[in-house]
Amino acid sequence: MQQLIWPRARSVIGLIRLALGMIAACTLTATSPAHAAKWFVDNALGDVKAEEKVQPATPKPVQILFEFQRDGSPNPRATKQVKPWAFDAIKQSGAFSEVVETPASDGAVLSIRFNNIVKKEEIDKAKKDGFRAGLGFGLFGGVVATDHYVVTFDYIPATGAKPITTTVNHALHMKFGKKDVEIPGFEVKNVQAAVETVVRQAMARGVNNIASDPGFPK
Amino acid sequence: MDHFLRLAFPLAAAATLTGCVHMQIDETAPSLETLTLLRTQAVPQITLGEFKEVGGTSFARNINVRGSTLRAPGGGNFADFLKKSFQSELVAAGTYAASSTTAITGTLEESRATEDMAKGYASLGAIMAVSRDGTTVFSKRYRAETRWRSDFIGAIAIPEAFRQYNGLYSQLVRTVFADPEFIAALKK
Repeated sequence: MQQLIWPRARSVIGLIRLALGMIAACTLTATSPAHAAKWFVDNALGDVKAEEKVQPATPKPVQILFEFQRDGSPNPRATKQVKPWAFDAIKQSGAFSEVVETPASDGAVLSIRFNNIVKKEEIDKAKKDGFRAGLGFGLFGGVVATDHYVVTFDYIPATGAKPITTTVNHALHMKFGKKDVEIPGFEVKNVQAAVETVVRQAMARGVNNIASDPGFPK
Repeated sequence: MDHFLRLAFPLAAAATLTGCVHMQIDETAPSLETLTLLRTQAVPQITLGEFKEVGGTSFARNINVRGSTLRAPGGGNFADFLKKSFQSELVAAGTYAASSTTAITGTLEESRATEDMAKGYASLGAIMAVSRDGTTVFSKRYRAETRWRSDFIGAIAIPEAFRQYNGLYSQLVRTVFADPEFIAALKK
């Protein structure tokens, strides 16, 4: 999972593993890593609270177009992995009577671009720190990597209608080794749970923003 | 620590250069841009005809990057995959009808991805045609290409090259449907 969706963590963990593997290959004394990777979902977005939630009286069907991207270009493999979670979250929102991939009866479309933004300077630093942390089995130094997501929702209520657009920002953090820094997020058990939580929260927030728009069919 | 790093980098290079991955290309997601193009231009119901490789060769079976391979699905070739990409977009827009007498056909003539540890390049090219009742009424060459910053580490560079190549399919489909001449041929 981490190899598909989480590019920064993928590269950092890859370096850590590579470094550990090379040390083992060099017949140095092998020990278990002092600190396993920890995953944190950023606190800023959070869940949609009950008092914030907008529910249409007569939900309409919608066709979903979902794409996971990296720096604005498609990531089909990650799309395949993440799409079921996105669909589940949209269904659970209650904003639509039916969520399908083929054309809806009135032509309503919700396009979702889940864009993973890679900041070059951040990934270069994370790779450098990750390599060092791996060589030291996490005992000497560590690394914190953050992945940023910008999720764009475009909802067209019917063929030819004016689109409703909203953007949701989210982030994931990964910590490995000895690094005494405050992570602005809550810890989850593994990378899959982390990505799933990010997707679920982003979908819930984006759909609620769309449903709150005066142009959304009530 | 320094001597570990000096030892580590050549070993890392060896390790990352020799690891091989064999994977299958992934279906591309329909986009709002292409759906909007098809709907706003009132493209009629169309079907898909034959999609083949140029000259009947089998050049488009694999993409190779650093000894790793990206394959077309189900033992087919990338011409078949291009057809599937067109179908996915047409179905999403509600403009696909297998029984239509107007068909899109394709001849894949370019399919490649390459990188040199610093930068990457991939391209896809095809001759796309419109036929009506079995007779070709329009034909034109289309291309899509992409460039990216590659990486020394194979575990990063190889999947990125495959991802970039994969993304060209939806880009090529969009290029075709954004061409007024192609749309006019579909609507004649």
